[in-house]
Amino acid sequence: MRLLVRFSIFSLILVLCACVQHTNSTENDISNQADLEKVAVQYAEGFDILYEEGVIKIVTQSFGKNAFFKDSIYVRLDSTVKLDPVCKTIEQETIRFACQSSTHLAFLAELNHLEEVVGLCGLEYVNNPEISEVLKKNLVVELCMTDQVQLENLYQSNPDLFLIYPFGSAESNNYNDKGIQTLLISEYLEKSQLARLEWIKLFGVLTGRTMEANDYFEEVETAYLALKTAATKTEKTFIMNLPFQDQWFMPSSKSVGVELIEDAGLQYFYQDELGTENKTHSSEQVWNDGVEADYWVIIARRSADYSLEDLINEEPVYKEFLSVKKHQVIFCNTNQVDYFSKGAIEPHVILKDLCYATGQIDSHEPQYFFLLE
Amino acid sequence: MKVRSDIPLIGLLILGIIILFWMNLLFGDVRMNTEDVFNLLTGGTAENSAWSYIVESRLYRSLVAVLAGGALGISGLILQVFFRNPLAGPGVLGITSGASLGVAVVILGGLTMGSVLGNVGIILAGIIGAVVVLFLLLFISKYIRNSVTLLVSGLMFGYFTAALINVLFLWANETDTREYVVWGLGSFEGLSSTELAIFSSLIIVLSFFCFLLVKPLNALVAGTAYAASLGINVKSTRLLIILITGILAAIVTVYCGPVGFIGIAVPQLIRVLVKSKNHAVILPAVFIAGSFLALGADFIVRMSSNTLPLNTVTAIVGAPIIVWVIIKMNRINVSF
Repeated sequence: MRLLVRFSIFSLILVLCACVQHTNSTENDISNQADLEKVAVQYAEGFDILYEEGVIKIVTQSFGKNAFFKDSIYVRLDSTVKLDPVCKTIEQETIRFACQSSTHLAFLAELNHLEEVVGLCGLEYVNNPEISEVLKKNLVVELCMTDQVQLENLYQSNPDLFLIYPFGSAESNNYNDKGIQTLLISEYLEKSQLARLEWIKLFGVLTGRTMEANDYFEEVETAYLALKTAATKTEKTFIMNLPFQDQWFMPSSKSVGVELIEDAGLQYFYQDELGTENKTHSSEQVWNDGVEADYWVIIARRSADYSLEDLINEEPVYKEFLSVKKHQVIFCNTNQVDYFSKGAIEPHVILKDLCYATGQIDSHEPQYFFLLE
Repeated sequence: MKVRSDIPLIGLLILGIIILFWMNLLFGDVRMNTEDVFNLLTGGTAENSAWSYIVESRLYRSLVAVLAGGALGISGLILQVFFRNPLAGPGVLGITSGASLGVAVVILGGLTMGSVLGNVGIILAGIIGAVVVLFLLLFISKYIRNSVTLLVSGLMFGYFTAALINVLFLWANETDTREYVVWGLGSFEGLSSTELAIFSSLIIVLSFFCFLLVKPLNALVAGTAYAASLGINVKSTRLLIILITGILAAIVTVYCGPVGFIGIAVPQLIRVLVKSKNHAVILPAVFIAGSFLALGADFIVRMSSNTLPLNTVTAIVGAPIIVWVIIKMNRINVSF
């Protein structure tokens, strides 16, 4: 009996490892083309691209202390390549996407692949008018009426691939069982802005636009690193965000958002709080610290004409903050700009905004962050 | 004689409130010494200019806790006497849920407590929601003699309003939904000086009216027929009780969220601890005990850097008290 169990497990492993059934008829110029358009992952830890004969294997996975998950999908370049039916497979360039996050839209939009989006969670929260118009025109289906994915709506959108978050990743098995292929996308877990942006290469492979993705990444990387190198490191400190009731959700010092602001030459006030997750601070703690912090970086949803005076009206103690006294409140109004989506693929623009707001560069037209007046 | 024997308990509770109040002013995430706090309270300054705001915030918060706890306590006590049911209270009877529905309509409709319109709208909507539920309960009580059935009806009102709120969630935007959810966790924090002035004025005036109900309450303990025989106008007393308790519970719910357990636990605890049966003693004792419990719960919340929701703490403290009192009451056969 034990032998039978061992044999079964061994057989199963063999089947899983040998998803690709090679044929002898793949001697064409596909491999040459793939060489030209190959993706090399430099920064990102959450995904990998593996090239095999006639197929590209995309692997997404957890890393560090994150909850464990691993996912993979084969992108078939050659229709003659036979893959095991248990493997997730898609045909490149003909994929219709459903997305659980609007951040995925930014990657797809940059690669001119927005037309292929058929379903999305949170349609009404897309505040980029151009993207929103395309989605409406294409009758993209709202997948989440509440915070749950509505299965019927997902079926209605009929995607080839559903890009989902890894939290609650057990759900992905359910979708796969119901005939909807999924891929776990975890770009938000990356440790740096460039690593996060590098996920565009994965989207490049999915959409058959590897070259465009590589070019875009290199362009942004060069601009970002140039700005980072030019920025002068200062002793000036910053705090972040606004409270909700009596709690401030302040990012930890190793979070991507903090790192981006530090690249502009500032120092995070809560440097000792290691980790990447948000940490809760009481209002009185931040009030106490705000008196000393030189800058205050706020990402919030407010009216278009939101001013420094409006900020003080929210809580009178803010007028005691050093940043408010010195007019050094750097604000990003998510009601006005597509920070959470497009911002993920434009870290160089955000960094330039921050460098301008902190006086590192003289002339620039801010797009995401500006000094609150 | 019995009144005298209760004085030490009331004195002890008042002393407890004073100690907790001072601890609430002194302790928190930002460490300040007694001298600094005293300086700031008397109009002086401190080394950090934000500290005066921190002390002010702690002071407001403590005042809100004292008044809200007291108001919920006496509201629960009056309802227990009125419905002749020791398990009655603003939460159990669905009054809090009614107020929550009113608040939900306003908040999820897009108005916030920051605006004048939002403030007035939320208060009115909360009061209307609470009073409507009370009138409905009163109407049902004409047909239901069994007090347990009446309580179940109150619980059903609670479920019904919760369902309506869930429906409202579908149309609300993310910000409004989040604001409502956080409000629902309960907190004594965040009232501005204007809001505190409105809140405290309403609670003090309504509590004063409650003390005018001492005589009718003493009579109602023996039943409406006995009260009527003593010359009490039962009909107008009933209306007064519904309005006062409904508005009291609604005001607290609007400003602090649906704070649970204080309204039901404190009156029961005091009934066991206090020897007097006179509501001239029980009513103030309940107010003071409610204030003490609310202040204590808020102190625990603050010691957790506000990570523990107020309702979690009141449930942890309040639920065992209710169970203990129910067991004790069964043993000594306390009745209303």
